[in-house]
Formats: sequence, C-alpha cells, structure tokens
Amino acid sequence: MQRNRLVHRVLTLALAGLLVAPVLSCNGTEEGGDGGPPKSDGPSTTPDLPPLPPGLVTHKNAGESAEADFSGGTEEYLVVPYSVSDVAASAIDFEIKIQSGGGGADGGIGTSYHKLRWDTRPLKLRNPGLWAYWQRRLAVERWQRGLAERAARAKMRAPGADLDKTLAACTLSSECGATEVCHEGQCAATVKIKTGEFSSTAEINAEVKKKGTLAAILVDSGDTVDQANIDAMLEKFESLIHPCDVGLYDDPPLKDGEKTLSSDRNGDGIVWLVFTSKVAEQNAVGFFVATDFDDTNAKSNKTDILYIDAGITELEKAYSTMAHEFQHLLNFGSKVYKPTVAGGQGSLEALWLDEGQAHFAEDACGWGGENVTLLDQEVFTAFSDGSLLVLDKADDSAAMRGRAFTFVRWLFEKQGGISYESDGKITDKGGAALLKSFHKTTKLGIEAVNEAYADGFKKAFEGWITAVALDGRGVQGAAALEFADLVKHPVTGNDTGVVIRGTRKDESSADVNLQGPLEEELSGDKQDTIPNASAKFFLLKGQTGKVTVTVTTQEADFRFALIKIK
Amino acid sequence: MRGLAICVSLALSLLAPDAAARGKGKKGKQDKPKGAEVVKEGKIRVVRGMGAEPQLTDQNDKRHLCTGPLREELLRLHGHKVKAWGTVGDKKLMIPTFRVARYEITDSGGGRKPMVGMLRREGKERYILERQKEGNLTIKARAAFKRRLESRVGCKIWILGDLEDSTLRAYKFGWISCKAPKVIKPRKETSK
Repeated sequence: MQRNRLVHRVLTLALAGLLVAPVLSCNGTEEGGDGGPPKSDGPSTTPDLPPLPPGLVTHKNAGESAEADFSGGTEEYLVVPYSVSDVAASAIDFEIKIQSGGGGADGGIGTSYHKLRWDTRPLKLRNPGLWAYWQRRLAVERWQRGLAERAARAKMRAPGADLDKTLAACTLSSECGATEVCHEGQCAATVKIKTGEFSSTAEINAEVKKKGTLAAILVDSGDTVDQANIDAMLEKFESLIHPCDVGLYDDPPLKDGEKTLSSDRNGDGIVWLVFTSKVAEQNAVGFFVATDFDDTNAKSNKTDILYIDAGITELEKAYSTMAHEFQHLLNFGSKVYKPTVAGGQGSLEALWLDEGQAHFAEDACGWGGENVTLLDQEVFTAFSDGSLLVLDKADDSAAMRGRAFTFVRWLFEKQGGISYESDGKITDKGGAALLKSFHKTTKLGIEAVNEAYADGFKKAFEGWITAVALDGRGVQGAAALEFADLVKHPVTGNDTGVVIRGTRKDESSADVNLQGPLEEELSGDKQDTIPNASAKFFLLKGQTGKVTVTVTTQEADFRFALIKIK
Repeated sequence: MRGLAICVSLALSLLAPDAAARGKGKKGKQDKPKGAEVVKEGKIRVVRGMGAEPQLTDQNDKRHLCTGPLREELLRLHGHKVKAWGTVGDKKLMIPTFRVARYEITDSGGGRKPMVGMLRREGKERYILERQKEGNLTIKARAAFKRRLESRVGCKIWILGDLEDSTLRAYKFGWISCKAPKVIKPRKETSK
C-alpha cells in the first residue's frame, strides 16, 4: 500500500512536470523564441575569492550611509553612485552628502568640485580626426545592424534546400579543385556575388584565388590584390582568427547530429572571404552582411561571407576587423539562423552584448590595439554619459562599445578566462564556456547574463564597476577585484586583456598611458545625474576622522559604492 | 488514482490560460479577429530578434509585437510598463502583432507614472513640459539634471517627479522621440 502510494506520487509529479514544463518553458523564452537552441546547462559558478581587507569596498542602497575612515590622514576614497536598472532613462538625479564626525567643515551645501586630469572637451574638439573616424565606423556598424535586424525576421532555410541534389556535383568546397568552391552544387573557379546590399553595383564576378580547409579567398575580377596579401589573410584566418573565434564562441551543428555548422549558410564547409573594392563604398575595411543568410531577399547570396576592401593596405586592421566581424557571423548563425532553420524564432543578440563580444574577439585573438584607443579617448572621458545597456542602433557609440567590451572581459575573467597554446590556439579555463553560453541561449542581453552568470547581472555590474574603480591603483589586497594582468598573445605578440590604469600599446604600437574614467573631486555635497545602467566616479580625500557618505535619490533601483583607493 | 487526477487537473488548469489565449478556452476568451480594437497593458521589452519590434507582454503573459507609427517611440521605452490602445494585426514570426494607436506609460520604475510631453525651453533656464490637454508644467530640477534636459529640448520626453500645482520637481527622465534626429553622414574615407 505504502509502495503504491509512493508510485502514485512519483507518477503524479512526473506527469505534472511533463504537462507544466512546456508552459514554463514558453514563459521562459520571453526574450528569445520558440524552437530555439537548447538552453545552456545552467549558470556557471563564480570562483571563490580571497577575503578582502575590511573597509576596502562597501556597496549600499541609496538612502543608506557608509563610513569612510580618514584616521591616517592620507586616505582616499571613491564614491561611486550607480544604477543597475534596465528601465531606459536618460538621466537619474542623485545627491551625495558628506558628513564629517565633527559636524562637518566639509558637510556644507556647496557643490564646488573640480575635474581631475586631462582635457575633458568632447572628442570632436580634442581630436577631430579620431572623432570623424569613429563617426564613419559607427555609421557602417549601424547600417550592418539594420541589415541584421532585417535578416532576423526573414525566412531562412537549410543549405541547399532549393537544390536538386541528384544534379549536384558537389556539396563541400573540399570536393572541388584547389581554386574552386562548391557553389549551388557545382565546383566553380569564378562565382557571381551579389553586392547590391552595400554597393551601387548589383553583382560582381569573384575568382577563387586560394582555398584552405576553413576558408577560401575570392577576389573581385575587377580588382587586383597582391598574392602576398591573399596568402597572409588566408593563413591568419585559418590559423588564428577562425580557431580563436570558434574556440571562444563555438559554432554548433545547424541540426543535431549533422556536420553542417550554424555559420555555414551554403553548407560548403568553409567561409568565403571576398575581397572587393565595393566595400569601400561603405567606407569600411570589411564587414559581415547578415542578409546573406536571407532566403527571400533578391540581394542575398545565401552564403556565409566576410567582405574585405580589396584596397586594404593595413593587414593588421583587416585581421582585427575579421575577428570582430566573424563574431557577428557566428552569433547570427547560432542565435538566429540555427533556431530559424529548426522552425523556431531566432533571437538577435542585444546590441550592447553583441558589440561587447565583437570588440572582445579583436582583443582575445591578438589584435586589440584599437580598443586601447577606444578606452583612452572615448570611454574614460565619457564613462558615465551613457548606459551600458544600449539596445537601439541609433544610440550606438564608441563609448558604449568600450564599456561593453570591458564588461564582457570582466565576466570572462571571473569565469576563469582562457590560456593560449604557443600556436595561438586557446584552452578554455571557464571564460569561453561563458561566451559560448551567450551564443547558445535564446535569452538576450541581461537575461543571457543572468542565465550564464550565477550571481546575476546586478552583481556582475557591481563587480565590474568595482574593477574599473580599483584596477591599476596598486591598492593592497584588491588584486582579486581588479582586471587580470595582461597576457601576451603568443603569435601576434600583442597584449590581450584590459588595463584601466597603466600603460598599454595601441593599434600603432605606441604606448598609451591609460588613466581610468574621469573622476570629480568632492569638496562638499554633490548633485548630479547618470543614465540607467551607469555609474559615476567621485574622489573623496583630504578629510579627517570618520566621514559618513550618503547617496540619496528618489529612484528605486539605485546604489552606491564606497571604495578605499589609498 | 486520486493523486493522478488532481495532478492532471492542476496541470490542465495551468495550461488553460494559454489555451484560452489560442482561442480554445471559454467562450468570450478567444483571440480577437484582425482589426478588432483592443487594450493591452504590460511591460515593454525591445527584442531585436523579433525584427526590431518593441514587444509588449500583457497581463496574461502573452507577447505582442507592437507595430504602427508609434513603434519607434516604444523602442525607447524598454523596461517601462504601458497601457496601449490599438488593433489586432496579423501574426508575425508566430507572434501576434498589435498596431498601437495610442499609449500611456504607467510605470517608469518604482511604480511611478511619468508625465509625458514636449520639452521646451523659455529663456535661459526655464524648462517647460508642453502637454496638449492637461496643461503645461514648469520643470524644476537641479543644475546637472537641467544640463541633461538641455540636450533634449524639442523632443517628446517622459519625466518623473513630484507635482506641486503646475510645477514638477523632476528626478528622472528619458526621451521618446525627436522631430529632427541628427544624422551623421560618413565621409569617403575608410573605417571598419
């Protein structure tokens, strides 16, 4: 009898689980879609950190107080108000109140403060050339994002769906000659490439110049590209860029149990790297055109292609661009194409997380110099001017990209990062697993972080802000809270990682003295604003005894950190 | 067996709202036909995978892609709760669409309903929230907040604060639309 009851209970629970599970899973895909890729295996755990010195970092809710101890006479603190809210807002008002133990010579109402360090004028005035460069680049990125958004709602079918397989001479490009690719079931040395999405020319003829095991180089028949550049690009793509990006982000099978991968739109087993001067019409070095995955668009090549300007002279820039753009291709393949082919709904990654990962790929694959310029010139002077969580391409900015890059890097390091083999291949120590889970999940943006990172987005945001505040200051006992030390890429010889304060080489191999986000020195109470999902840094020094710091706001989801930096 | 019956009953009851939403539930709960006027209330999420549409998750946890001329405005309201009036459209990407004719924001964080209007400036420092029916409001704010407002003069904004007669003591705002957004044309030089 007892046993029967037990059996009943087990059956009951099992049936309830079966019936309820679909309901829950439907609700659970709020930001994703039906029929998407399987969920990741659950949040990964955060490694235990060593205990911190007392009083080093304190996080409080707005309205609460924290105590800064200036007993030694030389202490310095950062007061960091921050919002972790995802409710879009341009400005949230707050006030910092400073009250010294004795009633406060510094506790007045005055709002006087002075900006520390460098020229704080907008980049447009400080460095018009760099500003113009970024405006051009952002214009290209916005255009690309628009195509990806369009492609994400398009119909897509599996490779070769409209092909009569009985007439096909090939499926894979590896079945063709050394300078041929498999195109629409036939081996071809020259293929027609539709360029109407980005050029006034609707179509070009592209000749297969070289083919490897992971990619082929095709060159516009109207252009000439040095053989040395062709050789170098294929070699770098196959030996570094492809293994690095796939090692970080994965390229899962399009259908379970099949060999065709999610990035392989035409199913030929390789990526096409197409050199054409038509790319210059978009003022770009290179790009991925997501509408090439579209089945119904007349301008679609239905092929996985990365385009490169045939006139490129700086190959290092092209490598960095390919590492960046290949992340976009892999992301689109895993999060949009794969679930769409499975009959579900793709989910294009939130802009901030997609770009954060693309800039991260540049760095991790060994060409992160431009991110150094990005941090120095754009992010640190405008850290608190914009939200981390940008969703709309109209709000895309260089500063947002830099913030997102450092946020992704922080998460990656907390999960264990990677190590490099001598040939540049990567061994995962936990960091790549996190990035792979971003590509695998149907969740987007914050929800993807919540799913992959056990402590959730809000704790990650706090940890990231703390790392930005402390990194490179040499505060005793704070190493575990900072970004990890730079790692030299074994092949490119460039550093990888994030430096907030310290020296690192930029894309021209010049040393850049990074100074961290702009800080404003408090000399009394301070009133200011930040957008949602943002933080601002205020320096508190020259006080005596115990000082109480309070941050007040009417905003519900608002906190602040008090961080001892000296 | 009784346990099994309870379980089935429980599971079916959990499934019922979904079934009703698909038009298989009780009479009167079917999906409205295309073109029918409806009112939806829920949270806006901007889901790019759904074709760059803002998505409204209603009281029954059912998702709707918001379309129509107000789509652009709703794109700026990620995380806000809104009440929207509109008509039922065709399904798009397997999700019902909802052509929004008008909407109001009901919660911009902390359960607070914002004021919505056009931001104007009078003189050097007087900021006005211009509203068609409810009358204009003078915005009182601290200097830093006003600096942020300045960049959105001429735009439709939402703003939160404490109302005293026709003065709003503001602490939080966001922009919804601007008539002439700045477009920066790229130059003919190379960049990524």
